[in-house]
Amino acid sequence: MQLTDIALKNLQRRKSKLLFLVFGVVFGIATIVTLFTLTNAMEASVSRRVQEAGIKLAVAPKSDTVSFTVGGIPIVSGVSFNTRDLGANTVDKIKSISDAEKIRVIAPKVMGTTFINGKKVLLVGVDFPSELNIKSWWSFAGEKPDQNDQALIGAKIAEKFGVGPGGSLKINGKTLTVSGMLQETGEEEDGIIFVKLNTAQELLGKKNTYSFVELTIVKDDALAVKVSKEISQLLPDSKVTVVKEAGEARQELVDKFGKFSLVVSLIMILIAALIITSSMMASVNERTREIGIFRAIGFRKAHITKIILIEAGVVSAVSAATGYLVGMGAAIIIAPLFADFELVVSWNAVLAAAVLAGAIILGILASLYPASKAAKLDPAESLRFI
Amino acid sequence: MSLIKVQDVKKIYNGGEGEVVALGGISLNVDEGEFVALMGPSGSGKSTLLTMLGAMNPPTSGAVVVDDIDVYSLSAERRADFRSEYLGFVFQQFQLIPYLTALENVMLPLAITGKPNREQTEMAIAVLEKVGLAKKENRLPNQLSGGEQERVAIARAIVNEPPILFADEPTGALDSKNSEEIMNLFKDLNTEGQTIIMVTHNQEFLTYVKRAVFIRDGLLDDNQHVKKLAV
Repeated sequence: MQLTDIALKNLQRRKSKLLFLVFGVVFGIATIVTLFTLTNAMEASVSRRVQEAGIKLAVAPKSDTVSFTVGGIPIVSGVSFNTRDLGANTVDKIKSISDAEKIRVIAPKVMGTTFINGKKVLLVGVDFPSELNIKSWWSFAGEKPDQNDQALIGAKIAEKFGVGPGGSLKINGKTLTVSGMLQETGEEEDGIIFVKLNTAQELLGKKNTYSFVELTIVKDDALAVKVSKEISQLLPDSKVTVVKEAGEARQELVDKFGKFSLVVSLIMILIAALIITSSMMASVNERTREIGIFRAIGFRKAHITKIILIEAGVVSAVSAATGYLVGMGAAIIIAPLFADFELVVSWNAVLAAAVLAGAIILGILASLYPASKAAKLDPAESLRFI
Repeated sequence: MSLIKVQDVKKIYNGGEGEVVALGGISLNVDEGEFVALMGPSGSGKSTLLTMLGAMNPPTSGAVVVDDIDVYSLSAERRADFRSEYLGFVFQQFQLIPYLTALENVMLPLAITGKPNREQTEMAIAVLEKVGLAKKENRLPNQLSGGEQERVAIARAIVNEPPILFADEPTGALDSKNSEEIMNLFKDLNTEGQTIIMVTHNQEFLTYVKRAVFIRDGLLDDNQHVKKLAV
């Protein structure tokens, strides 16, 4: 018979009374595990996407801008004028740079405003295979345009003109069949009509020119600087900028979710600690007589403290193991709800070990006061209840 | 030579209604191998004296010396060690731990001795045999009769081979037949040399003890002070 045996035997006896304690701690740990696992999966997903997408650069014609101020107060800022389009050889020049093989996609575009039924619309000509490659999140009803007289329209255009896939739009006397409609993205695409490059060049009167070129390179910040510099030298009338990726916006979302998870986790830890303290306190109060007997037959205060802390540690460990499994189960069930992130929930031995160690430490810390109260029980006082 | 020397001990409690004198100054010596009954009416102070002798209740004044150790000069933790080494307790109503088997209850005092489980088990089984419970070691207290529970309580008190055994109303919850058997068990232990101090109300048990000490209102009863009995 060792002190551990006494603690374990007592726990076996009090199984039903321990249910509340175990349930509380399991709930707290499961919540923490779920949030932590989902945050990790989201971070991994964003990181994967950033890696897959690489770095996006925009090559656009240089333009002069001017701002107007009155009495030092800015009235109008950033008005572009003297804007020129990129030449027909732009794509070839980009392909001629020394690191051309590290360019994944080159997506030239022609854009301009035009009118449909007297209403102003933005028309953008793209090379669809390239465009769809860099806009992997696009999802649309119907088909992408294969013919020169086909168009892919944003959700707001569809709503504005009451057309959908199979319908038609007339621009500058040319009838375009709507082959597909983008699902609403909340971005500028919603208000754009996408057509093939040469169709846009023809309709906008911009033959053999490009408004700007988007290109993606492998994820390498130093390479991005080098490529930008080289393209700027080859195309002196253009400016090259690194485009903020959708992935970065997602990173901000994940960061916010991470902070939310941290706050919820801290609250859960506090609640679990309070549950452990109150349950162990109740246990000590119930066992006054028993502790008195232990003390009377020679148990030191340290022995009593050890028994209480072993009990707390064991309950916390069992709760942690159960909480980890429940939390992972919940994460697996919840993950599909974050469809945009394509989360991959993975079992994490380090997290499991950290949860186990953390829960045992928490259980022991939260039980220090009840253990100290038990140890301080006066044996003669305790035996008065006999 | 006296094993226990109680030197003019007083115990005064400060309650809400002022001072309450539980023991008003008691001196008493107990020799090794004695079987002493502490007798007296309820509230006389006999249980206070027992817990004081049991190193659990410091006197307001006076001293308790056991085997030349001034018990209350020791720190609280050293007094715990002293109880483990020198004293065995049989409490009222048996006071077995309900979630431990008879064997485990008997092993309880050994749990803090650092002895390996096998040695503890051997010692506990030997003591259970001595008290006549050899084949019931794996039963929980609620699976034992009152007399059997009392035997387990006695086995637990002597498993450490303490020089002194205290018993507080050990037969209070037993019928007359079981009471007699338990008193015979105490007598046998005493015959083997065990020093026993027992609190009891029951005058019939005077035939089992070597000496009875009567306490009234926190003092030794002048009329029956340290009554020697024929054994």
